[in-house]
Amino acid sequence: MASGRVINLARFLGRAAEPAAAAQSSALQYSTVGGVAAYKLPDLPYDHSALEPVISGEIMELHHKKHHAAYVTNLNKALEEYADAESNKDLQKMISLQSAINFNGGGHINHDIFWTNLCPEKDAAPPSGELLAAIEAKWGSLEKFTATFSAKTAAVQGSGWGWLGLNKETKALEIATCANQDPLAAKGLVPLLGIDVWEHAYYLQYKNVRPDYLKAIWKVVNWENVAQRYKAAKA
Amino acid sequence: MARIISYMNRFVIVAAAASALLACSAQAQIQQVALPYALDALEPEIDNATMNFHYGTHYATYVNNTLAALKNATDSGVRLPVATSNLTALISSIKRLPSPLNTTIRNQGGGAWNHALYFKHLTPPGSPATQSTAISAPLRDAINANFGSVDNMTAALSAAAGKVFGSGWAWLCYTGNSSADLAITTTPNQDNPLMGQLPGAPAVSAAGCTPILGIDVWEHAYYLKHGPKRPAYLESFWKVLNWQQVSKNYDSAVQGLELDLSEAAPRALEAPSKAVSAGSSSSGSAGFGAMAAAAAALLAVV
Repeated sequence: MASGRVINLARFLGRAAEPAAAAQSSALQYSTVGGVAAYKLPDLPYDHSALEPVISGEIMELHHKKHHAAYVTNLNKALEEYADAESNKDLQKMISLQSAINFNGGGHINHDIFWTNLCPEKDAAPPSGELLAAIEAKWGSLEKFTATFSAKTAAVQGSGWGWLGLNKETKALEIATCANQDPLAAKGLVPLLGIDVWEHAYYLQYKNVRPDYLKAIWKVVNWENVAQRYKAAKA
Repeated sequence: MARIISYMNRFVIVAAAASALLACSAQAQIQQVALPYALDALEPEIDNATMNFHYGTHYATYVNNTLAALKNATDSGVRLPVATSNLTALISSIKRLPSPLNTTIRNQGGGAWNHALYFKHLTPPGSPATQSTAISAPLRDAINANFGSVDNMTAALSAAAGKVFGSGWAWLCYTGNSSADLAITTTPNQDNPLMGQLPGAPAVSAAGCTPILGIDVWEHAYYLKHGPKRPAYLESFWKVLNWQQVSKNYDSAVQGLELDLSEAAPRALEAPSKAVSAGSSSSGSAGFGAMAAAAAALLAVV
């Protein structure tokens, strides 16, 4: 174990350490380099071109190897500076680093979930069992769910995410949207399925027609992964 | 009865738009700023494809959505505190607009205003207006007084633009504060310092100031050419910035005039308490664009 410098990212983001949030972020891979923990960019579970034609290989490469990678790099840098500031009892500096940790930590958490929420079209199957039952109970049908989700997510102003989450209190499924890289955990929901609507997620292919991207992406949603997250969240 | 009144309202609007069309001298509604350069003229700094989408689609959509929301409001008999043809007044008075119009004007009207300023102060690279010698003496004095030098200011504005997380804008603003009359600030999404400090929004430094220079850092402003590399876009931006226009913007701001976001001559800020319905604004440009807009208004209401 590193010399006490491993920082629980969920607690870091200023929220009470909800068990699910902590579990989510502790699932993030990190290594210790010279005694300091560094989060790692995860590999995609598929090739960059595997989501074509829904999401182009060009977008996936930039999104994963540039955008997500930058969140990880900047997160690690901010955490290292934070650890230094903490050991120097420099509270002012610690406070000034909060937003960098929020932005980049949130970016890392969100994209880590996102890659697993997607799969090649040929491997994608619609939801079934308990998850489907819960979706139908809440929205009437899968089609009504996806239409509602897409409409709310299309309406996000600027950069942000659309989410299907589980309310830990009520155990109910909910659709929510978040701005920028704000983590869903802040709304008391466990993230199950996230769709990135920052322009970098779709612009090269869909230009400003975000609704077309949101219509197409359902073809590559990995409902099996969503179901696994649902099961874990209910536990 | 309501139908008769609404029919009469439509007749009035149509008559007003028709007289505007015939007069050919009234700016009947908000419209996109006319560009004094071709969409490919900013190559290689800002690429043709980006200009096509950014001006032709994104900006156009903001304007259309703004017009639709205003039409909806006036058709429903909502009385607004400012003329619907005056985008600057709408933005500045946003806290006095009724809900949900205020949200639409914030997002769509803000988009329309911001992009008008942006596109109007770009110009082909290499043209004299891009040289720092094109900065007016008063603006240069103000920049030197506030930042030490033009280079210091552009570096600080680029740094601010680079730090914007998510979608937003970086601004050089006129504050009206005689001891520090220029300020750099940033706003998220399509917010604009003229809107003031909006409830629930992150703190905006120099809230209420008048932008004279704006850098769009939404990804759509640069992604097609630069991908994630915002700094490369920022370098290009300075090569196509029209300092003459920025100087005019400063001059208008200092005089308390609205920025010239069209081909119209600057006009004094309208008294905010006047409630004016669509199509009855005074002054305006006598260009083809205005006639086309008036014709569009005519077609839109029937």
